[in-house]
Amino acid sequence: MRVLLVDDNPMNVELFVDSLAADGHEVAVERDGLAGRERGLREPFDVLILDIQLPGLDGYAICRDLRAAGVNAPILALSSAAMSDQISKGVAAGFDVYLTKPISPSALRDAVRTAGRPA
Amino acid sequence: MSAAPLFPAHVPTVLVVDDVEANRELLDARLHDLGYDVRQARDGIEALEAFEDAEPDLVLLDVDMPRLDGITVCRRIKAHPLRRLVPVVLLTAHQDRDTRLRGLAAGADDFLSKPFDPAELRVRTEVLLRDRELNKQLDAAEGIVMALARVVEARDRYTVHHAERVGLYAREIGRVHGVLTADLDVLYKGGVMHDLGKAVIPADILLKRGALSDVERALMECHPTEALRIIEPLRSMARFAPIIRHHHERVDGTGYPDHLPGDEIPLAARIVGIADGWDAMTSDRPYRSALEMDEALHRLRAGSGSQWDAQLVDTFIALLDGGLAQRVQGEQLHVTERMLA
Repeated sequence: MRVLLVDDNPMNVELFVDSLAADGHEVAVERDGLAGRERGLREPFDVLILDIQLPGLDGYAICRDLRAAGVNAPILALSSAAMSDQISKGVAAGFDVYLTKPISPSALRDAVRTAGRPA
Repeated sequence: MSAAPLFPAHVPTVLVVDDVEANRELLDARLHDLGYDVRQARDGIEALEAFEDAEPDLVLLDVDMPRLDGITVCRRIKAHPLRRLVPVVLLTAHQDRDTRLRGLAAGADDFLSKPFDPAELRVRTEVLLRDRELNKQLDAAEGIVMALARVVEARDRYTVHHAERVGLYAREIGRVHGVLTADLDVLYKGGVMHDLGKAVIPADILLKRGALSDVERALMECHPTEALRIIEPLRSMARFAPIIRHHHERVDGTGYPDHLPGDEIPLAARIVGIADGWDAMTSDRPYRSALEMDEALHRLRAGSGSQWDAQLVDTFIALLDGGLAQRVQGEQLHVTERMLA
């Protein structure tokens, strides 16, 4: 699958790209919010993974804009906060899956595998 | 009054595998402080032996070890149908990308770089153990539904082992059709539980020898939607819902409950539909005896493209030509013997 990863932490990016590539996914990376939103609007992806805290534009805003523009691919949130109000904020913004840090490579691989599979 | 726990709290067991004693002792001490039971192994062989003794809840695994290296141990654990659920953390040197890539390919769940940061060790082990606990609960839900499916099957003496065989047939069709290996298990289990909803059908209808009246037929045809009501609250069962709901659809759109035509019927349901149809034709039913193989094949071909997906029927007939029916009945005997043992 084609996956877009928007994350500004270089260590996470490297680990997540390797993890997803190990499952045969093709991963595009953007490191700030604005670039991530542009990429998500411009190109079709099967799954999008957005960090919540990003320079430029946060993950909630990107997700809302993508949904408003008609992007209906599954979108996963990577967040350091697992409080229920944040999760409901994420659901309201249009996220399908909410993963909380630290995220193990296997959890990310499972989430992408599950999200990318049509019911 | 202080709260009294009903059961003693489960203390997670962490298996630490490293050939350097100082490293083992360091990790042991830290993990012990975090409240875990710790077991140690000095190399890969000892690690696998430790698994034989008792399955740990988490493994911290060094990579370079004598006798059997960490990557190989990881691959062995992840190739095992049950043990693969135990999270494995590889202990790697910082920035060692090559080892990490090999670890990912071997199925490692996470990585810790040496020297360890105590805070990182704590958070990563907590997260993986929490995931493991959730996975165990999901497994438990699935196990209960499978057990329920077998109870339903047992209500009807004519369909003994029918569900099991449908699962086996469905898995084989899926394999040849190119379904992802990870999804073959969904076909097998979905096949076993496809008739779960018959739990609510009165026995006199289920076991009726003659033709069903219109009312009785309407009741019988509720079983897919009734099954969905049973599994609905169980999140982990969602992946079986398409099979359970749609296994009585027909590609000509005259099936039930949704009259879906052709490709609109989920692939998994089309596969289970054929497996179910075939096994129903080739086993005794309250209303008729089993058909001869030739007659059943004839009916299968006659229904290709109207009742069943033509391409999948071709796949299935090729499998039957290869002796699938005999193999499934053989496996069945094996299962029965195991249950009686």
